[in-house]
Amino acid sequence: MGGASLATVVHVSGPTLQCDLSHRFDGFTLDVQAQIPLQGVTAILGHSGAGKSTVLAALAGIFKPQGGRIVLGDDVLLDTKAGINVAPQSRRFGVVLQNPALFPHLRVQDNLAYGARQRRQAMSVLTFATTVKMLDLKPLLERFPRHLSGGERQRVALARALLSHPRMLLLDEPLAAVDRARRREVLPFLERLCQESEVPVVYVSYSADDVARLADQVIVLKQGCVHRHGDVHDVLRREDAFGFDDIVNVIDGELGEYPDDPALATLSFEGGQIVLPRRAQGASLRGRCLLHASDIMLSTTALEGVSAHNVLPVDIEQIDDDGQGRCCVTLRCGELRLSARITQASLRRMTLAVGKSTFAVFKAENLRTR
Amino acid sequence: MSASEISALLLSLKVSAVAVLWSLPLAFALAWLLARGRFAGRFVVNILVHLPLVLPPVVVGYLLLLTLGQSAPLGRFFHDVLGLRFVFSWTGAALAAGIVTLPFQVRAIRLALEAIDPQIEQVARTLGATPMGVLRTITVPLALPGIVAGLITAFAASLGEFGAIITFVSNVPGETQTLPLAIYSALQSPGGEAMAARLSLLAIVLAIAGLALSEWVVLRLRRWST
Repeated sequence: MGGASLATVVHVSGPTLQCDLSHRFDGFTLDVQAQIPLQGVTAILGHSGAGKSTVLAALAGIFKPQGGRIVLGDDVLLDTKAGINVAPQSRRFGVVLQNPALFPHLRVQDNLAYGARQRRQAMSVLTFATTVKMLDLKPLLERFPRHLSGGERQRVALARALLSHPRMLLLDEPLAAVDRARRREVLPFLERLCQESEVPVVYVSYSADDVARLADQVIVLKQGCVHRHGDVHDVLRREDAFGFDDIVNVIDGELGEYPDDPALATLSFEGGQIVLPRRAQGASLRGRCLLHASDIMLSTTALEGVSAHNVLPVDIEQIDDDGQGRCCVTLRCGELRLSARITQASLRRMTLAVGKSTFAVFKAENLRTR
Repeated sequence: MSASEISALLLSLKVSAVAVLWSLPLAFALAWLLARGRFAGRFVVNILVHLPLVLPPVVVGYLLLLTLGQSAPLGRFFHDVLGLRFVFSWTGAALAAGIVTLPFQVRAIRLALEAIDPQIEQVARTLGATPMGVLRTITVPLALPGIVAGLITAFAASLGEFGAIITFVSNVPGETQTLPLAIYSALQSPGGEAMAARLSLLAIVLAIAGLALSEWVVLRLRRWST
C-alpha cells in the first residue's frame, strides 16, 4: 500500500443513492458527488459551513439546488436538467434535524402516527410497538412535546421518522442541540436504531467521535466538496481526512471472554486482540472500540508494570508530520492498522522509522457491541 | 329596551358577524402572503392592508360609494349580475365593516404564522404531507389561537364602526342603523339622551365581552402549550 493509500477507493455493490449536487451561494460553492450504499450507516462528516446540512436538505427535498441529480436505486428524485423534482412527501425519506421539530399541538402518540395518517396507511401495530420499545417511549405517549426533555424530544423525532416507513433515514446532527448528559442518554438509542432498523441511514455530523461510533462509511466534506469517501476504519485514522486533532482508530472485532477476570473482555481481529472492560449489557459477539490517536503511546520495549492492558507489538508502516512538531505514525498489527500521534521530538529520541518494530501501549474502552 | 333598540342590537351583531366571516379567508390569504411570500410588491400589499387602520373611515366609505355605488360600473355589475345591492343595504354595512377591520385580522394571523417554526412544516412534508395537508394539519391548528383572537377583535371593532357605514350605506333604521348609528340618531333627536345612554352602555358591555371572550378562547386553544 504505502503512498498509494492516500486515495480512498469506494467499492459500492448493490443499489445506491446517487447524488450529484451543485449550488452557488454567496461566497460558497457546493459541488458534491457521492454514491451512498443503501445499507448500513453512511456519515457525512465536516466542520460547520462545509455544506453537510445543505446536502441533507437537498436529499430530503426541502432545498432545491441549482443543479443536480439524485437517484435512489432506479428512482430519479431530482434531475434539474430533465426538470424532475420529486416533492418531499413523495421521496419517502425520514428526516431528523438538530431541532426535533415535534408538532407542539399533538401528543407524542399523534406525532408518531402523523406519517402514517398523512399517507393514509394503517400503521402496523407490531412496528409501532417495536419502535416505541426500542426508543423507550411508552411513558411519553400521552404527553405534549412541551413536557419532554431535549433528549426525549429527539427520541420521539427519531421514532416519528422511522414510523413513516422511510426508504432511508436522514439524520442531521440529531445530537448537536442536546447537552452532554443528554447525549449520553440518546447515543445508545441511536446506536440501536442504526443497527436494528433495516433502513439505511445518512448521518450528518461534525464530530469524528460520533461518526466513529455509528458509521460504516464516511464522506468527509470540505468547503462544499467531497474530500474523502470510504470505509470508516480507513478514513478516520488518516491524518489528512478530517484534522490532525481528530484522528480516530475504529477497531471492529469479535468479543470474547477474558480469562481470570469477568470484568474484562477481549476484542479479536485478524492478527491480534485487545483487552477492554466488559460492558454490562448485551451478549452480542461483535464489538467496536474507538481509540484516539493521541491516546496511543509508543514504546521500544514491551512495557511491564503499566496500568494499560494493551501492549501490542506493531510495525511502523508510515510516518506523516504536520509541520508543527507532531506526527502521525501508521502502525500495523496483523490486518489492523492504527494511527498514533506523537511529537517529532519523541520520534527522534526513540529513533523510530518506517519498517521498524515497536509497541503500541493504550487502554481501550468497548464502546459498542453489535 | 325598545323594539328599535333591540333591532339595532341584532342588526349590529348580524353585520359584524357577516363582516368578519367574509373577510376571514381574505385576511388569512393576505397574512400568509405577508408572512411567507417573497414577491415583488409585498411592500405595496402591506401598505394597502394597513391603510384602513390609518385612513379616516369616512374616506373608506366614500371610496366604496365611488366604486360600488349604484352609478359605478362595478356596483352596477354586482347589482345586475349577482343581484347584490350594497347601497342603503345591511350587506353594504357588512362590506364596509369588514374592510375597515381587515387589518386587525391580518395582523393577528400574520403574527401567529410568523411564530411557527418553518422546520416543523418542512418535517411534516418529509413525513408525507402535501402542502395542503401541512396547511390543514399543522399551519392552521398552530395559528388557530391567533386566527380566533383576530376574528373576535375584528368582530368587536365592527360593532363600533360608524364612519364608513354611514357614508356608504347611510342611516336607515332597521336596515343599516347599527348601534353606533342608533346612538348618533338618538343624540340628534330631542329627548333621546336616555336611549343613547342605554345603547352606549350596551356597546361598552359588548366590547368588554368580546375582549374577554378572545382572551378565554386563546387560552383554551393553547392548552397544549401549558
